[in-house]
Amino acid sequence: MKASKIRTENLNKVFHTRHQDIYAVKDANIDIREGEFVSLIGPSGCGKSTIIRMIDDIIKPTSGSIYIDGKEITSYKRIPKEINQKMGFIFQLPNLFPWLTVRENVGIACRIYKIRDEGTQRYIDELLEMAGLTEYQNAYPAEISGGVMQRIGVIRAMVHKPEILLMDEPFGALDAMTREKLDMEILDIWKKLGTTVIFITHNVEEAVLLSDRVYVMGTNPGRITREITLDLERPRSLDLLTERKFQDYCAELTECIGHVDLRKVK
Amino acid sequence: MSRMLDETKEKRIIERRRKNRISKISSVAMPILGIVMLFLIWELWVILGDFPTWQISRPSLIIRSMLEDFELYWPNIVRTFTSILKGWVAACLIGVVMGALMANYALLGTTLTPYINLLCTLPVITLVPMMYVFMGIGRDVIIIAIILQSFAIVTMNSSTGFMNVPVMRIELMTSLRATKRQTFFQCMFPSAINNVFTGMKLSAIFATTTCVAAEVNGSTVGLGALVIEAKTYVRTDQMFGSILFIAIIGVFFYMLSDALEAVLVKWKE
Repeated sequence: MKASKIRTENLNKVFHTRHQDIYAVKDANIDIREGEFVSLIGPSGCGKSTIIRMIDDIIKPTSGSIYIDGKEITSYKRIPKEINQKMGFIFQLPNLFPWLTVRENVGIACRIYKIRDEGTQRYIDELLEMAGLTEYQNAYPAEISGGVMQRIGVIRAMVHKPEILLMDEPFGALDAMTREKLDMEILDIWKKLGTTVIFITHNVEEAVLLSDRVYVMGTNPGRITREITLDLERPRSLDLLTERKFQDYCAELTECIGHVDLRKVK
Repeated sequence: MSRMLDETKEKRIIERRRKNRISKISSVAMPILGIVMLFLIWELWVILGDFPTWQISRPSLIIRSMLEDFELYWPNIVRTFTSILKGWVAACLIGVVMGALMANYALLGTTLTPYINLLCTLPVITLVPMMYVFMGIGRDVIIIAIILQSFAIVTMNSSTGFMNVPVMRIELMTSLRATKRQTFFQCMFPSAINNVFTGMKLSAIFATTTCVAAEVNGSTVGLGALVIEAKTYVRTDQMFGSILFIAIIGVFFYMLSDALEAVLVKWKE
C-alpha cells in the first residue's frame, strides 16, 4: 500500500454566528494515499468544499490537524511555499481573470510563484495542446464558451506540476454531456500524471465513475458519514454507466446520502 | 458539437460588433445634429421674439464672440482648464488610494465612510467664501475646493469596486499563496477598475462645476470670473461664450476619462 499523501485528524471548522456556533465540518478524518482518486460527496452545506479549502490553506481550520506527506501543516501561519506548490485547486466556476488571455490565465501560477523558465512555457504549450486549447490561447475569456473556459480552469491548476489536485465540483455548472466528456479527460490526465486527486461532487454517478474511494458526507453538522471503496476496474470508460456493478454502487451511495438527509429532516 | 456552438457564438459576436459600429457613427452624428437643431430654434426664437441682445444673446452672436474675442477668452480658458486638471488628477489619485485602503482595512473603512458620504453630498462651494477668508483670494483655494469635492466620489466608487471583487478570485490568489501586493495589483485592482473609472468620470463633472463656482465666487481670472465680468458689462454674448467654453472643458474631461478607460480596459467582465 502506498504512503499517505493527505491525512486529516479530527478536523473542525466552526463558524460563529450571533445565535449559535455552526459546525461546517465536524471531526473529519480522511486519509488519502498517493496517486489515489478520492471523491467527497454529499448534499450542499455538508462542508465538502470547506474541507478542501482547509487542505489548500484558503481557510484555516478551527481545530484538528492536516498532514501532507506526513508533515503537519495546520500549525503554520502560512504554509511553506514548497508544500503549497504541491497542490493545485480547481474551482466550481472557471474563475478566469477576464483581463488576461487564455494563455496568461493558464500561466497565472507561474506569475505568482515567479517561475520564469523556458521549460514552463513549453509545459504551458503542452497543456494547451492536451486540452485542445492551442487555437484559443490568445483569446480573452469573454470570447469563449463555458466548457472551454472550465478546461482552462483545470489546466491552470496544473501548470506548476502539483502532486495533488483539489477539485471543487469542477463540472457542476456544465451540462451532462460536456461533463461526462470532461470527466473522461480528467481520468486521462490523472492516469498520465499520476497525481493524487480529491474530487468534490454532488453527482453520484460522477463520483462512482471516477473514484477509487468515496467519502459520503452529511449536513448539520457537516461530517463524514460513510466511506466506500469502489471495486471497479480501470481504465474506465462511459460504458461503465450501464454495468450492473456500477449501478449497484450508485444505488448504495444514493441510499447513504438519502439516509443522511432523512435523519436531518427528523 | 462544442465547435459548432463556438462558431455560432462567434457569428453573434461579429453581428454585435457590426451593430456597435453603426451606433458608433450615430453616437457622434446625432448629438451634433441635436446641437445644431437647438441653436437654430434658439436663434429663431430670439429673432422672432425681437428680444434685445443685452437680455438674451443669439448663437450666431455667441459663436462670433467666441471667435473674435478669442484672445480675451484664451488666458481664462487656460486658467480654468489647468485648475480643473490639477484638482482632478490629485482627486483621482487620492480617491483611488483611499478607496483601496478603506477596502483593505475594515476599521479605516468604517471610520471614514460617513465622512466620505458627507463630502459627496456637501456642496463644497458653500465653504469657499470661508476658505477665501482663511487663505486669501487665490488659486490654491480653488484647487483645494476641487479636490475636496471630487476625491470623495472616486473613493466611494473605487472602495465599492475593491470590496466587490468576487470571493473566488481572491481564493485563487490565496490558493497560489500570493502576497498581499500581488493579490492587490494582479487581482483586486483589475477587478475594480470599472468602478474606479465610474468614480473618475463623476469626479470630472464635480471638478468642473466646483472650479467654475469657486471662480464665480471670488476670482479675477478663469471662465467663471469672466461670466461675472461679462454680465457686469452687459456683454451677454461673451457671457454665453464663456459658458459654452466651460461646457466644452467639462465634456473634454469626461471624455478624457472615457478614452482612458477604453485604452486601459480592453476586456469584458
